[in-house]
Amino acid sequence: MINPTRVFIDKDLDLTPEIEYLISKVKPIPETVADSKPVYDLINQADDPVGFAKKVLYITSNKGALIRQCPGTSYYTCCDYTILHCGTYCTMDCAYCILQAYFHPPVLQYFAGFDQYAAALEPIFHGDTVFRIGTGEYTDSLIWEPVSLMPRFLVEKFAAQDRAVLELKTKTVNIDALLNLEHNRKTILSWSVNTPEVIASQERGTASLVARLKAAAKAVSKGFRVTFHFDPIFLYPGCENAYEKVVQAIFNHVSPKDVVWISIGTFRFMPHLKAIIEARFPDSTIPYGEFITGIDNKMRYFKPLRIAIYQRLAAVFRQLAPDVAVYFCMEDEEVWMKTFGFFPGKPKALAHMLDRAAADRCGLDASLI
Amino acid sequence: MTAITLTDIPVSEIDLSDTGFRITSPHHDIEHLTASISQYGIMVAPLVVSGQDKYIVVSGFRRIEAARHAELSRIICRVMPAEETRNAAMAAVTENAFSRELTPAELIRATALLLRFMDAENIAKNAASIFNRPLNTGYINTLAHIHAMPDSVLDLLDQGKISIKACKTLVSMDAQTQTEFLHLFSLIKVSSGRQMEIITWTKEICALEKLSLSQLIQKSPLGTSESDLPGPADRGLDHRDMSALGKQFKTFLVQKRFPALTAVKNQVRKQIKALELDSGLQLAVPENFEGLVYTMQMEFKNVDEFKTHLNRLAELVDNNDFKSLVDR
Repeated sequence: MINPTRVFIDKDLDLTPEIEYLISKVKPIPETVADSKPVYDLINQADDPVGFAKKVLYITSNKGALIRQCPGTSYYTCCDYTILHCGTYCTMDCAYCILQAYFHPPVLQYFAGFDQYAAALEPIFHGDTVFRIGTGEYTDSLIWEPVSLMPRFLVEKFAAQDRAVLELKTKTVNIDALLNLEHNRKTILSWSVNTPEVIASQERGTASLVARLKAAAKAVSKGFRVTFHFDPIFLYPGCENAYEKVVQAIFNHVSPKDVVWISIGTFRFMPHLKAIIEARFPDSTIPYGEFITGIDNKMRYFKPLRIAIYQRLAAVFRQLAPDVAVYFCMEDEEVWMKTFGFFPGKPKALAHMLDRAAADRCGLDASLI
Repeated sequence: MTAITLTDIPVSEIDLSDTGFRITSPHHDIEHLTASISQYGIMVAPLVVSGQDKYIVVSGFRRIEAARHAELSRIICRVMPAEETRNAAMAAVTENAFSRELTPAELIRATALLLRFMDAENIAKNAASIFNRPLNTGYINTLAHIHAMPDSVLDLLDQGKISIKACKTLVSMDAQTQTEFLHLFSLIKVSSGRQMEIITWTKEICALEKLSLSQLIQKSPLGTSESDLPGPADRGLDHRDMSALGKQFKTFLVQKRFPALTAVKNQVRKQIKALELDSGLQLAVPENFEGLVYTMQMEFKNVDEFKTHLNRLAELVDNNDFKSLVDR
């Protein structure tokens, strides 16, 4: 829930209907700033900048690249996802959230400018290849929905073409304003899921699993396609059964034919995130798993442990949703082979698999794949 | 400038029990110093403050104690006026810091002593002229926090059984946990790096298993009737024994903290041993078994040795132990 105690706005921003709408939805009157420095300074001087930044909204424009490739990491296989960069940070507070360590400091930024985004998307909508695009890499896609017209704008934009799907990834249930829009199956509503225990103990301020799944069912009833991300998976006593139950719960709410893809990935993190978690979530034991340093220098669960949970989940997916594309976010050949019996090792092979799923489920132009 | 007078005073009038200005360790061997003073006398006069009916030592605790052992009745001391306590504190630190590098425990005692008379910022500003080294405010405050820990911390620092870095980590913990960690480090002797690993793993295991540190120690090799025994020094444990205990405890922690990884490492070690590779061949597995690439290193002195190794390598292709190791 975006409920800032301070709001800042760039003095150069025009008061477009987009910004007027946003300002009308947040309480404090925006303070005009010439640049980001006062915002950064304010956040940096807080005792807990990571927590404090969730209450400071900065309305600005994106001065960098609006469209970016997912950075991925070396060695592990990436899905070649495209990011539409229209905001940063999040109001929810997950213990494991990488954004706590990724930005210095984190700032809750709303990047205004429909024209700018429309222009950036134009070449993609008229290109000769298909794209999977998401806004949920540096922020939660739908925390913005109650206060901003951006999600609606994007849904309608994507509905008018067949080259790209938009994935709006969230841990909220903020979908009401989108349900009656003409989406043409080009917007995928997507939920990051976890076990009820993990949600209760590690994801402050997020919707419950049941609420997320009910929202997914509601979205499907309005013709939306959905995706789910089991990421991060945590290993703890009894986790295998708990994650299996999450899979079962998903397919108790939605039919496999409405699910475009499901990603799975165990918890991995940059080493310096550990100290942040310890400081901000002193009761959390998630950084104390059996981690080793991965080849990309991130901490990862010891590989046989990852494979064991993946194999359990893969078996349930095979049973309940054999036709849904299930893939790993950032795993290697051994993990793929031991879990799924195949490895999309060639360049873009995983991307191709997911593009194909998007074409099948969302009506993208399959001739471009 | 403080007026200091050189005065010949009776040793019996010096109060060695008042250690308010003391920054050196109270535990030391003064046998050699006693012999030296018996033979040559005191080379540098101790510094004292004149009290009401006794002199209070500022610098020279060991010299005065040795003088007593040498049965000297009077010694020449430098005497400061009673009201000069702030200057006396500075002198206590400066005399030691400019004659040799202070040990970690001395640095902590010295900082705590000065903090009675000035704040951390002031100490930091004058650190070079007092401590003969720069100190920043944050570090001074950390040293003060370490000083506020249970008394045994200074003994352990004096004995080199705990580092300042390890103490800095303990500072943020509650008093009970600090006491338990200090007890742990009194039982073992490990390097500074190992101390940090032990603190980290112990803390994490306790959090995961919802144990107190003392419960974990009880479960460890250190716990074998440890509570029924006197301290390690009283048990006659020397540094070698305590180092061995340190290693055992670390191994125990690794097994508990990384059970799957440890099991696989042990298994692989056995498998590699079973291959009975020639001395010039060395098989390395992927680090933490994360990657997929194994390395076989070969050393040879001549063509014959090279051929022997090649033949051995060729045999490995059909070796089941080798296959199960590599084709995981």
